[in-house]
Amino acid sequence: MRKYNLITGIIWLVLAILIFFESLNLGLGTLYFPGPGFLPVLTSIFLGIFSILLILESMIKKGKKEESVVIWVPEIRWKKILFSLSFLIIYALSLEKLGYLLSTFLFMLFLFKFIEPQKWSVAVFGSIVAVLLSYIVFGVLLQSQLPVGVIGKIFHL
Amino acid sequence: MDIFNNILYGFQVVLEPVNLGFCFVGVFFGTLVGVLPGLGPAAAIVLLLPATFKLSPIPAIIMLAGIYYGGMYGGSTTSILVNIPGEAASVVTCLDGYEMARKGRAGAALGISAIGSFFAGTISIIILSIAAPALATIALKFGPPEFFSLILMGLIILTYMARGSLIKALIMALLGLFLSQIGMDTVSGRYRFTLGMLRLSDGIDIVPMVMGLFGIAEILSNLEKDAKREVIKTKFKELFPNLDEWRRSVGAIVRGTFVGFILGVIPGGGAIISSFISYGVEKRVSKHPEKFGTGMIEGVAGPESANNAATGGCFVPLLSLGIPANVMMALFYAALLIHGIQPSPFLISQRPDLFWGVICSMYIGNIMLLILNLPLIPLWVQILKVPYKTLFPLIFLFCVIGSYTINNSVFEVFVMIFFGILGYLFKKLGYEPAPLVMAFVMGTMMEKAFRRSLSMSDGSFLIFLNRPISAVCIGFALLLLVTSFIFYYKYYGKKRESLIDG
Repeated sequence: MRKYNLITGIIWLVLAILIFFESLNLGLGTLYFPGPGFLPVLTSIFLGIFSILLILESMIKKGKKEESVVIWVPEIRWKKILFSLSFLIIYALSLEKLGYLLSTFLFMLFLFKFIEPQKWSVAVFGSIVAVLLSYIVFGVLLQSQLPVGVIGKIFHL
Repeated sequence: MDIFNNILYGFQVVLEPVNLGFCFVGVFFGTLVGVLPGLGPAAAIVLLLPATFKLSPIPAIIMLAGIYYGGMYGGSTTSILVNIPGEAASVVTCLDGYEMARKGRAGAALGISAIGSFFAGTISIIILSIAAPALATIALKFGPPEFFSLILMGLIILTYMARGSLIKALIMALLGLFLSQIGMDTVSGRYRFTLGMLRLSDGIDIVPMVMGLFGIAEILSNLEKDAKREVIKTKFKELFPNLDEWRRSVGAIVRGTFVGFILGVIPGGGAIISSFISYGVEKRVSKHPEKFGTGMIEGVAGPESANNAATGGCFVPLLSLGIPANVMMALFYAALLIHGIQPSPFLISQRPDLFWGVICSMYIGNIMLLILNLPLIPLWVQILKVPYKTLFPLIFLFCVIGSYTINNSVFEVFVMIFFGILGYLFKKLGYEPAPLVMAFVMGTMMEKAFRRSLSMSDGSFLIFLNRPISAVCIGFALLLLVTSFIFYYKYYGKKRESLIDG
């Protein structure tokens, strides 16, 4: 954990420095009439202080023994997370182009089939049910504006 | 007899069919997410928040409240029957609840947690309906300095109560403050930290943020685990505890109720911590503390009552001061804002229909929950058997729909994914998202109060110390911060963690 604390501490410190200079640009205003950069500067100063404390803490404790913390899981599980995230991003990218019904169907199918594998029949059936039910609830009953995309345009939905 | 008139009025509001219907939907969903491990009430509320956009505020808030306290009922079922907490506030219920189930007393454990929950829930609503209006009357006299100091104190207590590293919790709170500053500055009209993105000019929306931090992050870390669940087979003929169990539970329920309510009101308290504390209290007052963990009914009755009492308690600061005490209440704060209601000391007098309607819906909701959770237990057990591999794609889908429909834009979906990845990493690296969310929600109000105070005092910081209420808050916050740092470095992290866990 110590190594990760050091890394995250450095990230926060860099962020604090960035916020600090950007806030100075925004203008501090006066004490009587604090400007848009006033509280951000204070925030960045405290963020800087605590990230330095975190960094120091992770360096000082070096001598002491520390039980190893298993942070990252075996490869197979890792892949599941990476794949789900990639599917999610692709889904978000294609949502407006392909339209809700098609892109959601594909997204569901991929999740059902490839993350925690199920039979094809189950995956296809599950995806269809999920798409239709969610469309009825959100698109029809709650009248959310779900993207129509290519298919919608063809059928003038 | 003002209060009776008000409560009568509240019942008139809640007995309208629409409100009654949404109350039922809320407690039903609450029990559902409570029963299902891997989906907490926080995620459930954000998931359903976009679905309430089209509703008027009263049924919307009634439903969301129902999800919250309903989740507390449902969570115990999973703890007792599967030894996996349905949500975090039922973690301790596993210890003795599951052991009771293994000894064939599952029915009694489920029964006592539903009955204890009902008692605690009802008592806490009664105290809430008396305390909140009284507190609001006092708070009407508060000016910007008082609000700034109160929020600051709240945030510091919250970070103090957070698990794990104090420094990390403070960093999270500061990050939350920073995130709240993104977007247009309402005073000067200048854009702050938008990185040139037009979409960020209104700031980050809380819904995709919390969906990411609690929804997506939760799924990702669940995907890591091999979730195998074994439901204990029980006959549900005996849902009522026997005479001896009753005798032992009464005290635990009463103690749990008061512990829970008080911890609910305190910033950073709430259902989870109160259930742990209540378990500790029961162990201490018991004549056989060594038997805890082997199926003591007190260890189920106390914490389950406490987490329900806490749900009532934490509504007090939100509805009377307009300041949320924990993450769940921060979500309600956001929900109220989305529906055009600014939580403040004026809430009760300006929207009595909302305040009393929601309070009275809780009385009715608790009765509904008692019915849902006692005779219908077998139904929930069936739902428990739904495997996670069927469930998680649906949660993903709900998150995407929810964040998309806020502005009908994919941008919010990406915000959600961003916070999902961040939340997952936070979990791994020991950063708790609660202080971040709280600071994010309160940031805007805090900044406004801060700037107004300085304008009032002609730029003197002494205004925060000259006014007694503000001075007490600041003093307490500083004291807490200083002592906790001393404590923190003296007995380094691990002991602190074990203190909270134990």
